[in-house]
Amino acid sequence: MTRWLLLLAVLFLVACAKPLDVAGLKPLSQTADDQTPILESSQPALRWEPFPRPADLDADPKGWVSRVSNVTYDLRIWRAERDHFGHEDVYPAELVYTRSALSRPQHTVESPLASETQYVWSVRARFDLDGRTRVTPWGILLLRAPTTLADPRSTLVPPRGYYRFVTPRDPDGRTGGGSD
Amino acid sequence: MGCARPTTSAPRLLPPPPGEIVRSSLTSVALAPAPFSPKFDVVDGPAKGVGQGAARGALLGAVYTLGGGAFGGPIGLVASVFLAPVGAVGGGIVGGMTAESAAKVDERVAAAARSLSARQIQEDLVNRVAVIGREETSSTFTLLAAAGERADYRALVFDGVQAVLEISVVELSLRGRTGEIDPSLALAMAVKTRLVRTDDDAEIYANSLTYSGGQGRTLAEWLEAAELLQDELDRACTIVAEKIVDEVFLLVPFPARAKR
Repeated sequence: MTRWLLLLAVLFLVACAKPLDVAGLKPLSQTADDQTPILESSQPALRWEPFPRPADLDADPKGWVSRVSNVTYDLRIWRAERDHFGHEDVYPAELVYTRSALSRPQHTVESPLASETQYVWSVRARFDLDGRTRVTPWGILLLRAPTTLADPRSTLVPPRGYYRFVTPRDPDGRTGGGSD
Repeated sequence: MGCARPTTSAPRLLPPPPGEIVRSSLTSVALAPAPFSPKFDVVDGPAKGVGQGAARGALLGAVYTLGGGAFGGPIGLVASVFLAPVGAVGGGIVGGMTAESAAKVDERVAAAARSLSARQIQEDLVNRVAVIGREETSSTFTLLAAAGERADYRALVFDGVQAVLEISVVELSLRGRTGEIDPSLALAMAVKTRLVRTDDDAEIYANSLTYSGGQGRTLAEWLEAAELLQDELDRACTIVAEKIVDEVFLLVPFPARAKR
């Protein structure tokens, strides 16, 4: 009986964990119910979907996706600030960390970010297509209350929908550096 | 033909990036800055004079009283309806006392316009696009002088230039929120881009972008901190330049998924 209840509980949780609604390469281990997770480390290990995704190949079986080669990833992290106009609250105020040509869809931040600080981050794939360098769009959250700023094709820059996280409290009570 | 002229209306979504056939012909591109200074505006800026200050203060006083009352449940809400006129009177007095005179506000707006127009924003943006373009693409970028509007780029064919990318900052503005007495203002920069084929002077791609800053300061603070305004302009130029290079030369949208 207990086993059945546990199974039912697990099924219920799985059904309730809505996938993150994004445009771009989706961050892994982040759900729609917690769009701004508080992380356990100020040097977070970030992971995202590899490119091309199965859905891209399905959508374009004999098109350009099949000709993609040498895929790497660009990663950026910004310190976030409350947005002046309140567009979904946060704004990429200062670029603090950037990496390009990452060979795998994951990266552990190499220098500690400031503690108890909200950051936004994004990734995109960089690849060769017919001998020329091309990129995918930077990944953004599709926010619940859509604004023009949150549309992936908005004419307004910078986007407000980058992925988010908050760094944990420093065990020594200090606030970290965070600049790259 | 020629560079885009200032305009206030712009589409809200970007057009699709140029196709690969167009991009394959962009091995040598000339960048053309706009030959005009961008229009400057302060939108929803500070209240001008006692009358405007009092009116905005009264409105804010009433709204805050009603908003505060809503936190107190139904009784608080009812009470706040009766207290809203008191809030409006109080807000009106504060607004009338704190608002700067119209002449002072106009003087500050003119000073901000002078400060921004003195900067080489058109050349700065084009230079940044050239730097990022050279880093990120295999195309060759040359800079055209902003000597005046060009009616015809076809002569550039003989220099091996296949296309001209016109980049025009059409408007710089400081934007606040409606109704505040001395609002925080954020920088906005509207930019138009046109890609013109030199073979036949035909426009083969165009888009509009607007940098919308997140950092808000009052008009007086922006004027006092000239270096912060320059930092914000630099930031706007970098973000817009990266976006232009991405859109024109690099970006490939994900394939559209079939709708179920």
